Amino acid sequence: MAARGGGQVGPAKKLKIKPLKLKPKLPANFVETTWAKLQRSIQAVFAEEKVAYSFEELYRAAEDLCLHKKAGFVYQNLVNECEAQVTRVLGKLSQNQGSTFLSELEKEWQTHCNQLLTIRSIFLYLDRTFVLQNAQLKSIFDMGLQLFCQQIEKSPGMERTLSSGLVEMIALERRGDQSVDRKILKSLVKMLLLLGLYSKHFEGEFLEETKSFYAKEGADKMRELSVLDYLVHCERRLEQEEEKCKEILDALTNSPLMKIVEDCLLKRHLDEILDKGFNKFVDQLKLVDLRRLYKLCFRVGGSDLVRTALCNYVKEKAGEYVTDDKNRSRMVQNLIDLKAAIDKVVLECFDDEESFHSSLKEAFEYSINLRQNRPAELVAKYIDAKLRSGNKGGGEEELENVLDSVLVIFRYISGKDVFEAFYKKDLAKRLLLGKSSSIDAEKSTIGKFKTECGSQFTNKLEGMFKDVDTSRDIMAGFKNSASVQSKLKHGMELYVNVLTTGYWPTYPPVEANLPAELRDYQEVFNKYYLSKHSGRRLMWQNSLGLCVVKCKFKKATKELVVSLFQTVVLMLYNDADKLTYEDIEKATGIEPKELKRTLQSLSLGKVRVLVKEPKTKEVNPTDTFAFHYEFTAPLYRLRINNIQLKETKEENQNTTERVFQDRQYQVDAAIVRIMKSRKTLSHTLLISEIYSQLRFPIKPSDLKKRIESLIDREYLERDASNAQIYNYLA
Amino acid sequence: MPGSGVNMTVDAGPVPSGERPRAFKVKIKHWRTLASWSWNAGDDVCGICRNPFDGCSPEAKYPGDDSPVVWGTCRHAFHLQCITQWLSSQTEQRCPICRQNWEFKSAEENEE
Ligand SMILES: [Zn+2]
Ligand SMILES: [Zn+2]
Repeated sequence: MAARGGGQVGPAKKLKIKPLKLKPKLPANFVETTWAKLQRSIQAVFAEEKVAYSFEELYRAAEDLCLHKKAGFVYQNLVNECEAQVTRVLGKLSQNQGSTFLSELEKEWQTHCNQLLTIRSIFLYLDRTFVLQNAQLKSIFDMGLQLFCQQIEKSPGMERTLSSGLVEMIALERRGDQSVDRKILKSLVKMLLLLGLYSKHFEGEFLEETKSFYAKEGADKMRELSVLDYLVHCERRLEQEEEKCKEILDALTNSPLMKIVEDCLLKRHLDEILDKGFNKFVDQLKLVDLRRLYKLCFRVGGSDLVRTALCNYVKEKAGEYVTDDKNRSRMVQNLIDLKAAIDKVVLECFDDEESFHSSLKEAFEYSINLRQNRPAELVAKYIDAKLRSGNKGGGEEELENVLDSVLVIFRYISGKDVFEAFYKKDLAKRLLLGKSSSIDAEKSTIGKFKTECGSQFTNKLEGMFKDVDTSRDIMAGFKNSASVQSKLKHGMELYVNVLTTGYWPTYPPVEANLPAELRDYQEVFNKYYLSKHSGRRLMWQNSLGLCVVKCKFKKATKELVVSLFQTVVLMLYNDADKLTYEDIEKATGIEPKELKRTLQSLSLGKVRVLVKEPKTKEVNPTDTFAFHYEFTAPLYRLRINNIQLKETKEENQNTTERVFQDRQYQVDAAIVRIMKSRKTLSHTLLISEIYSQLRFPIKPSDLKKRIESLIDREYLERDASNAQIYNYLA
Repeated sequence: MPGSGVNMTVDAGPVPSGERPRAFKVKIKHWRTLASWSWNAGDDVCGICRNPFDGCSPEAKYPGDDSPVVWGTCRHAFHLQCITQWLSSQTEQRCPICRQNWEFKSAEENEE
């Protein structure tokens, strides 16, 4: 292929031939007759007529002239013949620059090239010797092309007609005209390239046309098509242009061409594309379309915009879930599903880009912490539901998967202490009321928290398991102690879980007047335990107590699994058939709210062993409750609905309040700890050290209050010379 | 019985119906309950580290068994780790609060 810009070389120089020493034996008119033969033949080739001499003969003739130092003469004459030819051919064409111009030009061009090849083979000797030795001369073929080129440039308007004609053909093809002859297009573009005319006029004009075509198409199609279809269209256009460029145009045109198409179709519409299409695609998990969208945006440097759109999507969705008070029970599952969907999108559509992951983390953290406690509380409850016995669902493996996915949400929670408090409360109930589906699953869950947050986070939770194990040993010892057993006379079995204060949630003490047998057992156990462990005291926690009681009804005896408070109420009926609310309240000493819940469960639940009068749905202080002698049930052992497992509003509120009290205490402890080791510290440094130690969010203004309080309590003082500096007071 | 929070008043219970035989209707077979233990040192904080006895001593990771509390014959209580450290830093073995000679109170004395 001739170099681009070959046309920059000026018109061929006429050579001055110096006279050489002639060989003496040649006929006088040798040069003239030989050339005349050759000239006739050249003209015959150009005229597409039959050549009168054999190829062999002509080759010899040309060679002879060269051997007799007539090479310069021959070359110059050859140039003259070619020039005459292109002038004739193109002169004819320049008269007709109408609709057939391009195809005729293409034909002439092809013919010219073929003729040049024939002529070159006649003058091959000249080409290989004389032309090669004279660097300033063009080879015969190139000389022929150059003359063609010069003639096009000389013909008025021809070059412009040619360029615009080609640009117009391409435009027609873009509009879908099937009749465009790619062969002509291809051949003429190749001609332009060979002649060095390609970049001179054609390329610029072509790119201009491309720009205006796609600018309009972009605007039109954005209006007419859905974003989904628009992107498909863009993708097809880019492919078409790429392919066209490869087939027809110069490789160097590719990059400016593609840039124009990308700019016009994509770059200037990016905001609108994302605005209209993105959220819908993610909502409907249109992975193929999201992948296309990303690829196209990436092409025009818009992947940051995609990332921002994704983060906004997450913030909006997750924020909605977190703040939606009506669908609290769905919150965690919704967040898990959202996270899984987004992960899938990033992996399959966005090249699993690392920057996407880190931005998403921020987006999730932002939304999930819009509510300080709710997500922490609900994540704890979600896990509780999965770990509780009776949880319907797959086997161990599925449980593991569920835990892993909820852990992802857990990671985003900034108030891990709120989570811990709620988790602890639920874990306590599972352990103490025998409600855990599997201790292995419990321990594996704790293991996951440990990996996630370190052992500081799980120490107390692990302590709870330790207490349960220790209690088993204590109770074995209690049962095997002869002196203990001799004191126990009621034929009842006692099991006490001894809890270390500090590991477990604190339960508000609920008063109740216990029946004599329970009180006796309590005393025996107290003595036994304290004799083994000096320096301690025991606090009985009645609210989570559980009893199995035997009840004699008219038809049959039943075993009931009941709470301690239910037991205390039921025991009253050993001495009575019917009691007023007031009787019961006075005898049991249970506070009204708790008592009402207890009576409700015994008389209005599924298993009704008391009969309430009147038969309203609420428990009132004027009601009476009779023992239900006629009670029947198919089963021997009955569980009266487990009110202890039900959450109450106060319980949740208490848990939260306790977390906040505890935070205050932890802040104080952190400040004292830091100041004790540093002795003197500026306000700024103290604050930054505190933040590095705390694992929950707190406002700087609240920190200031704690510092003030510690100054009041004389743990710290302000430095006398600088109020921004604190000193530790030993 | 410190901290049991339970009073017994069953004997002063409601009026029996009279006609019924005194045979039991309800009998407890099994009682599963809980009790939490803490150091018998009041709700105080340790006079050395100022952490509550229910919590941790600064040296320990866990409260409870891991942070034992001890008494001097002067009846002042400290975390074992705290008083041990204190005593080893002093030439004279005195209680940091009342300055009396420090002696560990034995378990038996504690019992009463
Ligand atoms: Zn201490
Ligand atoms: Zn003392």
